[in-house]
Parts: sequence; structure tokens; C-alpha cells
Amino acid sequence: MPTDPPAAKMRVNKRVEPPALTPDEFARALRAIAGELERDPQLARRVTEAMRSETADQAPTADDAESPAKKPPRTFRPRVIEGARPDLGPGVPDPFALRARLGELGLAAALDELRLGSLRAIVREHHLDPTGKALTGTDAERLRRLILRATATQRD
Amino acid sequence: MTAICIANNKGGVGKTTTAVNLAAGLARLNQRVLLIDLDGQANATYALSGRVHPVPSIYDVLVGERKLETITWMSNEENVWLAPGDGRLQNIDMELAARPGREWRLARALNGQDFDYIILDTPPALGLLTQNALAASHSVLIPVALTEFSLIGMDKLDATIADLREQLDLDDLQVLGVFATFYEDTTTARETWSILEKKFEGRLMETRIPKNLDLEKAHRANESVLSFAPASSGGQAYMQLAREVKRLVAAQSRPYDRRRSAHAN
Repeated sequence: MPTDPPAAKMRVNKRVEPPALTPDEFARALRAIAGELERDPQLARRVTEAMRSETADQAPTADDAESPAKKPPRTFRPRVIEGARPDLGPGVPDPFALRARLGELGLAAALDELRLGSLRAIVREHHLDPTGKALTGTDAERLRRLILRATATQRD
Repeated sequence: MTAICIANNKGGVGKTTTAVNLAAGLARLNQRVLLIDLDGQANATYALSGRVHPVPSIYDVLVGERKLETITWMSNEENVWLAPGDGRLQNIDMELAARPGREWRLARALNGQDFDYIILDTPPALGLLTQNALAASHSVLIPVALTEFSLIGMDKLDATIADLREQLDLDDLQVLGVFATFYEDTTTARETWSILEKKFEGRLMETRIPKNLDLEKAHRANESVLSFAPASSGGQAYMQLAREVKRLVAAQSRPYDRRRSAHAN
């Protein structure tokens, strides 16, 4: 069947371009994404790690191509034991700052990922247990509850 | 300030466990302690902070221009600070090899540090990292698992220490002590111990660290066994080791270390 040139031309030219976002729509999209990142610490962590991967995997420069021996060693990215999330920063985490940044649910999620030693360190360094009773024993959940209560009290 | 290097080129003998728990033990004896993780596996870092391969680390001090203070932070143990390691340390030999004063970079970084004890956890190898640790240390502590393979490795370590003393003029680098880890009262352990007694006469320590599951559980909890299970056999042994180390250090003669200061400036 002979091709109808005008129809064929229309089919070829009928590439549908997606409508461009208006500035208002773009701003709403960014706000929605930011809101989700604030509500979901796990999502925030995955996005942070993905951004780090983007930076680490940037295309090699001409210098790198010429002298591969000079390439800096890649930062190790853990898979099985990921350890404490990087956005907690170095040292003993500050639960008050974390609560201010992540909210109550975000703080609870962060504490869920910390082990007994880190939880004990938080309680000790931030003087959250004047009696010292919570620091004995091996009940990590008890320490998490103590930290959440203490930060809620401070906030109030 | 006393810097103690925990060294043995044999892996799995308890260097990291000793570094972590000795640091915690000394802290309980009212000492301010810095633990430096020089192993590319960075297990000591994880054991005392829950962080896996954090950046920046001691790598950035040895290879880059960072000051030690900028990468040091409080660990999960009271009065124990941590200079973390990370995976980049595993390939650092090539990067250090071309740098001037390559064996002294750590000593230079430690110059002027305000700690009572600096404990250095080293990799199971005798490369530039361990050499840096030995050059920066006043003493070496050698944990030994009482097995045939451990004895073979001890000869090589002893020879390396002797070589370094000569090459780097480290006359005052002393073996503070050799002590048993994973100890069980078996015939093999006793026979191995008696061989060590002949070779390291006068340097065998009284403390023996027993096989104890709480040592591993404490690592998982990201704290020392002295915090996790102080009454356990491992907890009691490491507290005893800390006391013995403190006693031995006090008894050591400490000539003014002109050589290290010269290299450190």
C-alpha cells in the first residue's frame, strides 16, 4: 500500500513533546519532594547516597585518562552493614538537634538504627539520665524511649 | 603522653578487640585516651562509634594536609576519642611511598597531642602504615592467639621491629609486652605459651584474654566489653590488662625523645 506522503509526514512530525512545567508547577513539585524527604528519613538517606554516587561516578577528566595511576581511591560504600547514617555527623549524635531537624518521627527512625553503645553515649553525653539507672543493663529500647521523652520535654 | 602500638602481622589475633577494650580500660583508670584506627578495615571505628568507613579519616591526615584535631571525635566510650579509619587506608602504601619522611607522617601528626594515652590499631601487615605506627609509638603491645601459625608470624614481627629500630633510629621503641588472646586452658595452648616464654623471656604479660562471646557481642553493640558486660571473663581480663599496661608504662624508662621531635617538626 503506497504511503500517503502527507499522512506519513504527519506521523513523522507527530512527535509529541511533553508540556513544559510552568514555574509555578515546578515550584510545587520541588516543595512536594522536599516535604516527602522531610517526612521519610529512609527516602532522604537513599537520595543523599544517590547524590553521593553521582559525584563519585562523574566522568573522568582528561588528566585522569592520561594518568590512571593518579586517580584518587574511591570512597568505600557499605552494603551489608551500613552503620550509622552519615547525616548524623561525627561523634555522639545530638538528639535535640536531630529532633529539630527531623521531627519526632525522624528522630525515632534515626534512633532505631543506632545500637546500644551509641544510645548509651547519647544519654551520657547529653546528661539525659541524672540517676544513671538507664545506663546500666542492655535494654536499647529503654534508652530510645528515654531519649525521645527527654527531647520532647526540652522542646516543650 | 604515651603512644602504644597494638601490632601483629597475623590477622585475627585480637588487635582491634584489644585496642578498643584497652582504650576503654585506661579511660576507666582516669586517663584521656585517643584511639587511632590505622586499619583499612576500620573495625575499631565501627566498634566504638557504629560508623562504617567515615570520611574524613586518618587517611586524610597521613596523605592530605588535614590536622589530626579536625578528624578526631568523641567515641561511644567516655574519655575515649577516636581518629577513625576508612577503606582508603588499604591502598595507602603506594601513596605514602613517594612522600618525604614517609615513615614519620603519623609521628608528625601526633606531636603536641594532649592525651594521656594514644592507642594505635594497626593492620595485619608490616607495610608503611604499621611502620608509621611503630615510628610514632613509645611501646608495642603484641597480642598472640596461641596457635602454630601465630608463632611463625611472631618471628617476622620481631625481625621487623628490630629492622625499624636500626633504620629509623628507634632505640627507645620497646616491646611493652606479649599477651595471649582467645585463651583456653588446653595442652596446645600451654605448649605454645612455653615456646613464647623462651623467646620473649621477661616480656610475657600476666594477663591472658579468654575466649569470650561477650567480646564479639560488644562489638555488635558498638561499645567496649567493659560497658557491655563488665563482669564477663573478657571484661574482667581487659580491665586487668589496662591496669597491667599502666603499671608497665610507669616502670619504663622514657628518655627524652629528641629523634621523634626532630622528625615531627
